[in-house]
Amino acid sequence: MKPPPFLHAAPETLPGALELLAEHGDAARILAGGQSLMPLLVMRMARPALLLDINRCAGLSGITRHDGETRIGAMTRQIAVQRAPETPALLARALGWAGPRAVRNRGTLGGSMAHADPSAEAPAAALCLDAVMVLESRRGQRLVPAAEFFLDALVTAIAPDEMLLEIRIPPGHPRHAFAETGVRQADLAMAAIATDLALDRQGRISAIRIAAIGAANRPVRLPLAEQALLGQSPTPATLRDAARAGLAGAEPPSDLIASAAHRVAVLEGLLADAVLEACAA
Amino acid sequence: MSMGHNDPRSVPRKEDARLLRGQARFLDDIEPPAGTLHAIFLRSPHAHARILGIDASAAHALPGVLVLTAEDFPHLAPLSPDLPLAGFAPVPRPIICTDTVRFVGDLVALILAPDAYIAEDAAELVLVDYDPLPAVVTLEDALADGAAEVHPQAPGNLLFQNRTATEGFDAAFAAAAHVFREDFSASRVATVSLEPRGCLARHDAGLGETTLFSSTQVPHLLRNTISTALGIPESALRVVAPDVGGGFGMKASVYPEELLAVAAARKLNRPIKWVGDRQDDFLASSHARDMRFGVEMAMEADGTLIGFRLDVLANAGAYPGIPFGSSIEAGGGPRTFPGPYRFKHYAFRTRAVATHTTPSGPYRGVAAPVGFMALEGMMDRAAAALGLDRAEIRRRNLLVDADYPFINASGIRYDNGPHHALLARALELSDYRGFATRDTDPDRLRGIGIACITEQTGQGSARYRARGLLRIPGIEAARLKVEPDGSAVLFVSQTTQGQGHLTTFAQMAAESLGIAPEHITVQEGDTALTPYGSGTFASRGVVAGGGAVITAAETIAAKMKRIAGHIMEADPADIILRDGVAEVNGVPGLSISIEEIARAAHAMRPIGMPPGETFGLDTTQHWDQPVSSVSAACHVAEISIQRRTGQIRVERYAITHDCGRMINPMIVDGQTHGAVLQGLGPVLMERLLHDSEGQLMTTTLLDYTLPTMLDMPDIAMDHIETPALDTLGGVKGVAEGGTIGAVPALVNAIAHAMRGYDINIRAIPVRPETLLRAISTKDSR
Repeated sequence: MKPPPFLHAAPETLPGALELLAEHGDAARILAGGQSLMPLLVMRMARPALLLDINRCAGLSGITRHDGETRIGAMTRQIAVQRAPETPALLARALGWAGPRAVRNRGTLGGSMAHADPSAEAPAAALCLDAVMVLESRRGQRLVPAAEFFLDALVTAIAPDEMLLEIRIPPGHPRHAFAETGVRQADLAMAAIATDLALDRQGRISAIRIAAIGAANRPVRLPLAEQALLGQSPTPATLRDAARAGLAGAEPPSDLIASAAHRVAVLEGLLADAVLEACAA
Repeated sequence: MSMGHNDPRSVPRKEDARLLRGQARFLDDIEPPAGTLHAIFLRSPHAHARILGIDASAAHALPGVLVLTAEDFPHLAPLSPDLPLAGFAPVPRPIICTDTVRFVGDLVALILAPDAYIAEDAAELVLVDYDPLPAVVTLEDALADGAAEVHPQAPGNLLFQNRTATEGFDAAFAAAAHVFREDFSASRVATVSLEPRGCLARHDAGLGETTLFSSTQVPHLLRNTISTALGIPESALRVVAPDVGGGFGMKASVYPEELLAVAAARKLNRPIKWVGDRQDDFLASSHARDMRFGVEMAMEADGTLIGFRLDVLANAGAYPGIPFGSSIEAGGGPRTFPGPYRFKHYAFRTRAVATHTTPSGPYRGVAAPVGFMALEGMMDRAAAALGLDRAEIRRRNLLVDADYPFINASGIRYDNGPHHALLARALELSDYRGFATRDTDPDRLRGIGIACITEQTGQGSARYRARGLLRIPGIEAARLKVEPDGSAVLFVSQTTQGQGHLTTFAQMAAESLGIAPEHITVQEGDTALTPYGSGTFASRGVVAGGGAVITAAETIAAKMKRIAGHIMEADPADIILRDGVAEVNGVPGLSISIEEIARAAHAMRPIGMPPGETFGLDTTQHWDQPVSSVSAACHVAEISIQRRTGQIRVERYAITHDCGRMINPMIVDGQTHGAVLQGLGPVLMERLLHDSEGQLMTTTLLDYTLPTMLDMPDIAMDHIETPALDTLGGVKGVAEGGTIGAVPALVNAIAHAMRGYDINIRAIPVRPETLLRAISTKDSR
């Protein structure tokens, strides 16, 4: 468990970092909080020629509000995001599941998005909340919606010369819930559901978004479940039918932790639990 | 909540301040001497293959890199752990593979470099040409007709086999009112100690002496084995166990890496340091409990036990481990099975099966956690069939005081055991009767499970000879030295990995010396300092090591009394040693301090020694525990299962426990708590998985899920101290019972929670997936 040789660069400015990225492209890996990358390095599963350490880059962390939109710098530590009053409640709740305290102290929100581990909580919350990823390179800046950002396990829309700069989250609905299950208490998610929704005066669901971990090899929205629940009161029967509709075409991973069939069964239960909890909140 | 913390005997552990302040010195904290070469072991990627060639030229091209293979160690003989007894196949373990590899992780080459980074770079450049051969991975593979043989010396892949039946067995079974049958199985598990294995070997060419620091539980056995394998006198070898971050039995084996580090240090005259990583540990440290128990249980109509017939299988892996051999689990399974019950008829067949997997070895409780899952699972099945309460069927069969001394069906002697009281108190502590009032959540299936268990502790030389083990002496020794200032140093042949020896042994010696425990320093783990003994494993500490400590302390106490009697002109028989002074019984005010006695004994006081008495307060005493000592416990686990996910949560947990007279109840509680978590893991989440080719798929802590502190239940615990009659000081061993009890109690609780569903819980781990399938099959009907 020792990494192979690599170059280490720790630029102090964003332009400095982007210049190195433009030069090294695929051969560089960005080191943010290191909570996923360091194990990959020492197991020699990641072998970058250049480790581009952005921990000394100024201006990459912080949380601000702009017209109801929350903007979170990519290098903001997960614990800081979780605790900031500006953070959307669903994201803060999802981060509560994101590993032990020591990991959240070090891990960054941007690192979690860019690494795109299919079991990570923050990407699912971002997808549920229609977050927008701000990508920067020497070529300029572009905005990518979360729905187009997470492409596959550990694969995102970030180009080799680009860096994730900021996560922007538009205002959400008033109610939310996050339900997760893993092998252990406080473990990697085997399956999880994030939802935010609104109720009308009759207690019917007037708006709803649902994202799932464990339904595919990346976080996904469950549009059929969303449609099935829109305009409905959350009864056990509607929830069960919506969950089944939402997961009908799902192709979850089958691995040592759980089979695909088990993930679907668990997600159906979690979806019902999460929506009920959000409605009751 | 445990009672132990309020007990005055629960003095704080001497070890803790140092550990908590980061002042401990583990293997990797030892500063490598100048010129140290760092080692990486190149391991086989195949479960079974012939080695056609090894090309290390590219690796040698890296600066300072050396690659050593079997050719470089022509005199390293394979090691054999077993006596040449009937039932044992004579299969030795090679130290480094010559022409064949037999498991993924088998050792092919030793790579040395100026640092561990370069060593790993070099390991990638060594090209080994393998010719893969068919591999047998599971018990079923290995026992199938025409299965590939792991060793020609072990036909049918049987490394060890034994069968026996008590007299009149068949007739007794034939006449039984009921015979219940079930097959139980356990998945293979790893012992994950916080600190992986590692060692540092240093050779002094001038003196011809070699020192090995190793993260081990058995420094004396390790020295003895190195001496045999390398042909070095034991007097020229020193083995030191520094602080060790957990062993649990896994570090009680001797491993090839340790022998090769010494051989390379002597060959090259350079210090060699190896710090294993988690993957090394998963691949090449002993695995455990890949076992099957086929059980038949015969009963009278009223639920009285008649006897058992067992068919036990243990997947022993590719080689017998050193020193516990191939019979560790297959032999231990039937030996520990009978537990706290009275029955006369017993027959078993047991087999240790060779496969192309990592060798198995001892892990906390060895086979007993699986054995008691089978035994206590049978008791629950019988209760259900006979319409009896699960506590009642146990009451009808537990040993009672009138049975003692009791020799059980596998020949183990029980001097006493408060099994009825343990069960009764556990039912109270757990509020067993009130279960129904807690089983009210419609979202969760709730269950409660009982396990009555015994733990065989403190084995001595006779047991190891009977088990056919060549390399385990079974004795322990203690040297006690009182210094001129009245403080004492105790050198014990065992070594500690968290058991609290430095505290417990000081407390044991203090009892007869009258010296406060804080003035008694305990030294362990260094063969140059401590007398020869076996090591720390099998819950032998307080019985076997403690026996030597008590004997040494009583020897010195007797001498101090003679000296005190001489000084105070009193009969030594009237001297009482306590609180740092020697008093004369019945003469208030007449006393001298222990420091004065110690000064007299070192010729530093005007009044000399009694006539004929030698100077010094220094003795070495050996102890061989004549018969094993049996501890006992009752565990009651209450769990619930989330109906929509199948997730299991432990809701309540109660233990009643007897380990004889306790020296430090807080340490006993701590041992039990840790052991429970190591029982919970294999029931709820731990399993090592191989693919059909023998590749281990669980080689990180992401894939091999261990319970964390968050999975640890609160434990209500009570002790019923029943002093042992067969040991010194009334003590019985402790450390494994928590694991042995947790497995059956949790499994029985899960089975109880699933009582309305069509599922037979008889294999661990119990996976939420299996439960959810059964739940949704019925609920959707």
